[in-house]
Amino acid sequence: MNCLEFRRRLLEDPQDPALAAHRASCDACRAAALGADAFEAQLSAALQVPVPVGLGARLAVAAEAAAARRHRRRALATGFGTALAAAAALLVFWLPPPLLAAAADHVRHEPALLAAADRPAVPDAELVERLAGVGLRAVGSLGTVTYAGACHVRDQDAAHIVIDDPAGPITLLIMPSEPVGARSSFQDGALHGVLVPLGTGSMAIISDEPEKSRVAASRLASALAPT
Amino acid sequence: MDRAGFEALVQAYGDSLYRTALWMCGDPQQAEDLVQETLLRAWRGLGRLRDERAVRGWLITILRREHARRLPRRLPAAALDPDQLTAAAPEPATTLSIRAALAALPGAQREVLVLQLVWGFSCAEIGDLLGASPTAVGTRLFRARAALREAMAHKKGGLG
Repeated sequence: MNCLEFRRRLLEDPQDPALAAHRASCDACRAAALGADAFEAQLSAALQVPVPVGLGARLAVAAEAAAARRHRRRALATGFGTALAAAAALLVFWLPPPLLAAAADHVRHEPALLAAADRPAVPDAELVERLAGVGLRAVGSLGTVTYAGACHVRDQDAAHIVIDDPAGPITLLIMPSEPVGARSSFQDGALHGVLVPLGTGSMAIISDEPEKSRVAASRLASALAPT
Repeated sequence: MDRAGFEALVQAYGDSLYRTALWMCGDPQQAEDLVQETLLRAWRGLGRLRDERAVRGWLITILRREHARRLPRRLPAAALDPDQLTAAAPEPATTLSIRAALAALPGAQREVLVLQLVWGFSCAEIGDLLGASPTAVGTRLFRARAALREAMAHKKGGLG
């Protein structure tokens, strides 16, 4: 490392261990580093903006309130669900929406998630967590995942994943409670998808082109495995 | 709800999250709201995430997304208001001067400094969080420190 490189890296990361050797061997750079150390201490102090008194207590209270609200909503939903189930039993000709239409509808109602190009990649840990939530783990690369969220398809827990593929965004809907017998393709408006069996359920791979979905389905089905 | 677990999360990360949020939005009340929302969202999914570094990265990701989600509702601001970043108790003049210079930095430069110095992330880790290369992160850090030093030198010159 020469002096120019040392001075540049001193402004990038003064704690970088790689600076130690040059610092020890160059008097001028050692003096510069001492000045940087002092500035760094002042900078760290300035970044430690004061935290309001009682912040932790207020956060705990807010969390309790949020938990209580969720509990009330669940209780309400359970009561409503029971009434709905009784009413539904009376509808002899009632049929659930087909899985494929439900998957396509779900993607159509989340258009912002398809605009994946300018999103940062989802951290690995978050993706691992999301996949584990639907009983899966990655055994191969999924590509650049720009969104990984929990959702519901036909009232069942599912994972909604968007991959920023070189050919354009691809959406995965992983539905662990929706088993299918065999792979099938579908089109719904401008959306083209492939539905494949996966683990205890199924996965829909949806994009704007049939070939893109087909290629992605082959690759992604082998990149995921049950936990 | 596991109250003790949530309080442990607040204890470990509440202050750093608040500081990060305040350096993002410049508004103490909004920063507190951001921290609250971040911790609540994190708490619903943190159960199986055991690696401490991964937890911190995830918290930052949630915080940034929540801030971005609320951003359109805010008036555009070129720089933060330094008066919103001070304590009621007196602080050293140098601290206040550097804080004012930090408030005037572009948000992207301020953000990498916060991630490096408040959270202790490396350039590579910051790059992973922001979706940028370590080189790009290094460049932002270089420019941020250069700008701060210049501002401080200018201030000293002006005072002298």
